[in-house]
Amino acid sequence: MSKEMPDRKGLIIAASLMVLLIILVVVFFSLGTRKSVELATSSLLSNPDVDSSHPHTVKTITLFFLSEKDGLLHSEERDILKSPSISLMGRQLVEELLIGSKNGMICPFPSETKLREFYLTEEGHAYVDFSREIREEHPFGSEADIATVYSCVNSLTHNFSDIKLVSILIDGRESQTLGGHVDLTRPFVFRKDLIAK
Amino acid sequence: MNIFGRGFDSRRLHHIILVAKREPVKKKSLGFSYVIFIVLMFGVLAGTQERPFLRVSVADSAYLSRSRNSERVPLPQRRRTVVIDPGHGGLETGAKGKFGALEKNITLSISKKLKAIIERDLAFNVELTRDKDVEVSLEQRTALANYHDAFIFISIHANSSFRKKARGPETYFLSLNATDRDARRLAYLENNESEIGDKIFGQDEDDIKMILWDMAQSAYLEQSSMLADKIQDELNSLLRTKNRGVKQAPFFVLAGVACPAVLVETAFLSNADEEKKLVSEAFQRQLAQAIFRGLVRFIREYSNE
Repeated sequence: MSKEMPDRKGLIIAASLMVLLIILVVVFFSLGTRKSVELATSSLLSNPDVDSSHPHTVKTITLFFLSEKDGLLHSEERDILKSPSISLMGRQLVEELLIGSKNGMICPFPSETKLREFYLTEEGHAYVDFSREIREEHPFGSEADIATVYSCVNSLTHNFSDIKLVSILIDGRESQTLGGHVDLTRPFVFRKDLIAK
Repeated sequence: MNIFGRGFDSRRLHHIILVAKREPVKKKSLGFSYVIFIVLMFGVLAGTQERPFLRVSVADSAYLSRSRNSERVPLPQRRRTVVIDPGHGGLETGAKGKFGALEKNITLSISKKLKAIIERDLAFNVELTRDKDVEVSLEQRTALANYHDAFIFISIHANSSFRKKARGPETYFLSLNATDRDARRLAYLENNESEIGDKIFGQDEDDIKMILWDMAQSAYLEQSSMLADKIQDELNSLLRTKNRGVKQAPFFVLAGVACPAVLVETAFLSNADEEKKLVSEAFQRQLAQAIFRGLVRFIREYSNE
């Protein structure tokens, strides 16, 4: 009897540990903040939600570029791959903006600018993180500041009703301004008056 | 600047408290540390009660010293101040023209000319946010205007665009993003405009009102629009530009200014013809005179209301 006791004790400890482990696993997967932030970093090609072989998976969006003629934003349509993820489509939209206009309008972003990340919160607040070239190669004028910011903000908010606010980050950080003028510390909303009628 | 005087570093106080928590200390010295800590905390509380400006986000050191002195020294006879803000400066050169002209130099030159004209012809003090080639933060520019209880704030700039043909002057006043939070702030300020003045002199400790500081301009949008209108009208006459108008933008330097405030983009440095003009002393003087005429028209109309 006395020899069996340690084995039995060991079994009880092992069983207790197993139960504890199961409880921890259950707690880990069931709890959390439940406030997720979508991060559109995965490649579109590897995304099972996107299938480019079917025409119904294409979404036509409207981009806003700067016009030499009147200094206002003019629309240009473009096709992107449809996805249930607004974040993935938002990312595609900004990348299309950076490629530039196909109708001879001006892309109000310095040519070396890259999109680093695109985040979208559940509350509809998009964070567009550009590479540092957006500031380093910028013309530093009020008109240029406004064109850059609202080309991005208006394009995103016009196409996706789920995106209500847009904040612009530079090189992963919040910046005070772009070229010393427009306040980047507050989120932006859609501005109709900057679009050509 | 802090309430303990020059030599005191608040980070040291923080460090002292952390060290007291982490390291085993002898009982006698622990008691002594608590006494010091309690005395220091009383000092902090007494200081903040007397000086509510410590909680004002846009206050700068000059503003703080004025608020302190205002308790002892009577304010001088009220002579209104116009604050002129030459855009950019120092390493922050602003826009650069094709022939090498730098925005920071042009804005300073125009601002100095405008200051001279105002001081010659009007009974106003004029303060420049910088009078030489130095970098001044946007917060400091705003704070200087509020420290002087400015009557008018004019920020002078030279524009630049991705458009090669862009030309002509533009005058901006602040636009608000119509987010819920800003809309609430605006509504509050529109109904409580007189309280802005109280906040400048640190008479009110209400937290909500203090938070409103960073959007002080919200209460002056109507006057700012009127000022922008007058200046733009004069610039259009000078440069014979008809289709350039007043514009609104969420400019950082305007948001916290508690008086009518505009940002003037005199001409485009990205346009070769306008760059040549902008570096000329004669053209800079013409621009300063046009802005001055707009200012005078605003003052006349404003005082009639």
